[in-house]
Amino acid sequence: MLKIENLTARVKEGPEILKGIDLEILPGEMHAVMGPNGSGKSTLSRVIAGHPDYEVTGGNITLTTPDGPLDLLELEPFERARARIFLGFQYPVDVPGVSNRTFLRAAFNAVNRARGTYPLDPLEFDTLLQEKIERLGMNRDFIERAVNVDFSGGEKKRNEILQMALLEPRLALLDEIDSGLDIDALKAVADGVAKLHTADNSVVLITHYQRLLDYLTPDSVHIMAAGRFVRSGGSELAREIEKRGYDWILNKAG
Amino acid sequence: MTGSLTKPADPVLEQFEALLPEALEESKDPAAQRAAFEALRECGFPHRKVEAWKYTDVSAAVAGPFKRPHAGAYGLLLPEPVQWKILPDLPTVGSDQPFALLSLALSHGGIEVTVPAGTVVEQLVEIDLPVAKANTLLCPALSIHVGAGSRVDFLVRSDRQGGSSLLSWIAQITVEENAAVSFAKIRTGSGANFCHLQTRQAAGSHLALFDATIGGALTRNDLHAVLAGEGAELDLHGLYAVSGREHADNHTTVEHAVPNTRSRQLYKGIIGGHAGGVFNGRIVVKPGAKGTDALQMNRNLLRSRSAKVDTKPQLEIANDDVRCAHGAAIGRFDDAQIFYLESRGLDRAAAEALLARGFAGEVIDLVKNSAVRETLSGLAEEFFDRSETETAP
Repeated sequence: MLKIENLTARVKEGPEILKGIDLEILPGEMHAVMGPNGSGKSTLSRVIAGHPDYEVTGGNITLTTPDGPLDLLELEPFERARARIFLGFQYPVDVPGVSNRTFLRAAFNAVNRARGTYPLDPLEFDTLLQEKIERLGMNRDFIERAVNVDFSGGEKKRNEILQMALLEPRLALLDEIDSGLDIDALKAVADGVAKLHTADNSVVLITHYQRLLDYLTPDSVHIMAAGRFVRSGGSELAREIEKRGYDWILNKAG
Repeated sequence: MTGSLTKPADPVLEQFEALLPEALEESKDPAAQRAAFEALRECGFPHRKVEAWKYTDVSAAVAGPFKRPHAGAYGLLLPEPVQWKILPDLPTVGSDQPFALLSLALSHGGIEVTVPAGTVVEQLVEIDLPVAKANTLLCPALSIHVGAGSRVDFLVRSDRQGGSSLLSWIAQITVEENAAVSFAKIRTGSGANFCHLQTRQAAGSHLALFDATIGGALTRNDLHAVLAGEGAELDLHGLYAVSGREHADNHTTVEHAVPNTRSRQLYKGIIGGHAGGVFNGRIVVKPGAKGTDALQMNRNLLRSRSAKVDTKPQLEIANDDVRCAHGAAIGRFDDAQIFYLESRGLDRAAAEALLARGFAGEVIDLVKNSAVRETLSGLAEEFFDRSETETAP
């Protein structure tokens, strides 16, 4: 699905943040990238999605698709989205004056036009949207509201999951999708991710805390510190972190 | 003509003067129209050294030559019991208002629309200005009177205007005690459009005024709103959307003349291509108008490097115990919003288009009458469709 080789990146004109990342994700896998603040885990997800604030200084990112491998670093952010990479934002952005429905339909049609599917008219789209909302057990009312404007933390994150449900990514990068949520919202978000994760797609969870992993069981866990993966293992690694803190691994690695 | 002895010959003024005899022939009050022309001669057409016209160059708009056809027909959709008649008296305007003076001097007459006191008009009142064909001069006038305690919604459209035409019109709205009125004015079409709008509100009245300029070579909206009775409230919203080499200029004056009145003002500008936008908002609080509550906000979105906007708020407050606030913002597209939309598959142009629509949508959504709101949304949509191809710097 995704292969990252010796990836280095920095903030434009700034210090290096990723200092050599290697990662391979197979179809159907769920990975978790964990680490303390400033370790570079959010940067990793943004670089994969093509965030313009960062500059890749070395390495490769290759996405496997049915049409062959894609060199992601050659693609604009919207082209990566159309190649069905999805970035769930830690801080979803407000878009005042644009209804959530308009936004979701624009995104859906942009991604699916690239797939050669005929764009849906508002009525057809509404039927599909209704189906996704019901599947995720969401409240319909915020569809009419402006995108993320005055949404609660939980609503913003659930809106990200709804976008994921609509866009059906082959690779979803969920950046701190658990931050700022109470336990009910956390469960709802985790439940949504579990429903959307299939044998054909892959999910990367970026998280600081282990608590999301009480609800989702990744195949692999990577501990990140100072721009590198310092330890990789199975889901038991996350529980070790929960028990012993990041210092345990960082000291060991150092 | 005494004026031509004291001032050097002005070819622009001369071509309008040549149209004066036929205007006077149709006139019910030739003396007033002649006086208006003399006042125009005295004040002259503005140039950019005149402060009120610093950012708006009218020279191309008045160059002509213009034909002055007979007045055309208004499009009127007046539900019961709204009445209309030919405007009996020409309005009066200040001697420093060249285009209002021009409109008076070469007037095509106008109409007066009256809503009797104590009525609720459910259906939208629609008024379309007469057609201004290409290369013609049209000077219509409109006077609206809403009786005490009535509720009514108006939509006035100035849309049937051809290229190189000059439309200079005067509108007046009088809102009596405790009446609640919404009034939307939408300017689309080509040519140059000058509107001189005066409103006057009595005690306890509410006026929601929406002033939209969507396209058009040159537009100048001069609004003078007077809150003349205690407890009067004004919601003033505006949208100006221009592209290419178009230009839209909004000058508003909101006058709080008595105690305890309230105004809320939001104008949004969307300027693309090589277009220009101007917002000049004055809030005037008269002596003794204690308890005034006035808010003014102007926001602008520049869609290209060559687009330009000038915004200037002015507060003139003649006493304390008032709450007045104003602000202005000029922005380009927000990088975080653009990336968010790009990460959802929209290319740069589509992302910008969606953001610009949202920017307009925020003020359009404030229109309560759904028919007016849909009309505005549709016109904004057409504007974005035709201006999207020219977002390059």
